Amino acid sequence: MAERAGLSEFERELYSRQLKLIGEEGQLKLKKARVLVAGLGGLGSAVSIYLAAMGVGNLYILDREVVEVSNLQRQVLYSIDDLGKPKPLAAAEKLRKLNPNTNVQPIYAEASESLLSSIDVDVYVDAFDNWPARFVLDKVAWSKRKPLVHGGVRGFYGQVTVVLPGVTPCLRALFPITGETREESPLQVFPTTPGIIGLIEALETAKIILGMGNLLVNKLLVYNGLQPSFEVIEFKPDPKMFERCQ
Amino acid sequence: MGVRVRITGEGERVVENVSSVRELLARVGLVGEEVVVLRNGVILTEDDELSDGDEVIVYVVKSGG
Repeated sequence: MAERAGLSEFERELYSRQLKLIGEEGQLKLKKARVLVAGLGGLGSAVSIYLAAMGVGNLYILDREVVEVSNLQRQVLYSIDDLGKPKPLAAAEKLRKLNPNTNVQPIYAEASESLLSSIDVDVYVDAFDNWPARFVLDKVAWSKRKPLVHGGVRGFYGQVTVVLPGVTPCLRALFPITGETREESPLQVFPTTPGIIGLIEALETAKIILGMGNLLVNKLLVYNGLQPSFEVIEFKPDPKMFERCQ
Repeated sequence: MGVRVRITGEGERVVENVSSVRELLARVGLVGEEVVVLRNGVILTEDDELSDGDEVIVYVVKSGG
């Protein structure tokens, strides 16, 4: 089958319902893009499924855990057959079936600074479930001057923001009061919450790659699933905040 | 006069006799929580001072994934 401008006939058919929105040029941008999805729980499931489906060409997916029964109510990447398997490996299998054009690199490891620094990507997606790991990712993204899309959830609530080094402060400065690391019983999360927040993260990631629309830059999108409401809280980057990012 | 605080999702109230963000968080029962505190769009730390008439927004950050 004849190919033109870097997309196969199959890809043009696969993406036919979005090509008029983003153009073939946009689709090629997605194909060339490299994205790290850090954390493959509820958020990471939603983010990685949609990034693969829309045609992001290179997905690095990282997690240190194996699939457990209690994951299945919200971590839609996995099924009963995956119990006990390392999440990145089970996820890679699923994502490759979803879109064989996506090059999926599973990383079954703890998020250390040296490991994350060794991976070159265009966008970092924070789908972690704890602040220490988030702040390691934040430090690496900031030092590489690459965008980081943050999401967090609990119960029926969540938030999203986009960190653009130099334009916005880093995550460590945006969230300076992170409390104590509490050994509490596992966090309660209603299944749809990470789906909704994760898809907003996927959308912001796509917009960064495509250069389309306005980003959640210096804005915190706050979701309340019970109201229901989405609120955007704007903040002013203060020079003091950038000092906390060095 | 006090500090007018809006805790997102929980409504607004006035807290009297507080002079720092740390004190405010203690008074509204948010010690040890992950929060973002803003005054006029500027993000504050626990050490920042507050004055009567200040209007602040407190958002309890969600940390799960």
